[in-house]
Amino acid sequence: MPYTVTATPTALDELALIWTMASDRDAVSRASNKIDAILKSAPLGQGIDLGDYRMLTIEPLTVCYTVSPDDCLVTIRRYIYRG
Amino acid sequence: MVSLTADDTWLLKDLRGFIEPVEIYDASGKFLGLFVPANLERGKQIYAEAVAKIDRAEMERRLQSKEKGIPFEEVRAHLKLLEAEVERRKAAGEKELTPEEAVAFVRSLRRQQHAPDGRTSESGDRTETDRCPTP
Repeated sequence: MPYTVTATPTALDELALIWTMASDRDAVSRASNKIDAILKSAPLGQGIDLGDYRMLTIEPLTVCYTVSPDDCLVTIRRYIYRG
Repeated sequence: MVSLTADDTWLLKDLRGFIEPVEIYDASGKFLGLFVPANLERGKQIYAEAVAKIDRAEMERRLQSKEKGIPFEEVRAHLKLLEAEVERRKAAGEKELTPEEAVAFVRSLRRQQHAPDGRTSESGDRTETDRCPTP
């Protein structure tokens, strides 16, 4: 069973803000969908480990996320845009 | 390092988005090869910049937050509805959504989605025998 990928309401607000302000909105949508696809399979092996959380970048987006292996749950807690 | 399972949805422009090496597998789990971006130093720089942008206290607050996560399918649906609203306004000759209005729009979608008489799309229907993949 794959991991369930979620985003906090605060992170979703952030993504909406980023999407609205982005010069290439399609790139933001694609990157967020690809990040979801990657995190579903093996979130603990992706990107970089920052101790309390991990960070993964697919340009133009970076996400900060936590993983709860017992619940098979990934929670995206922050989106960062690099435009 | 990133790993992904290749299928018809992965395009060249997606590979351009990677800033670190990517292990590529087929649907049966067979390792196909390694994609290494041309400029790995740039990837390190991008991560360093992203880490520098993070306010440690704010991140700590978010890590401790009890906010319930929204399933990504819902996130994707809300982005689609936001996109549709932007297109509708454009077609109707109305003024564009400001960033603040866009955030208010997705918040209103969330309120509708989780209204007491509405259906929620929580995805907690798992059995104890279900297992998530070992990283």
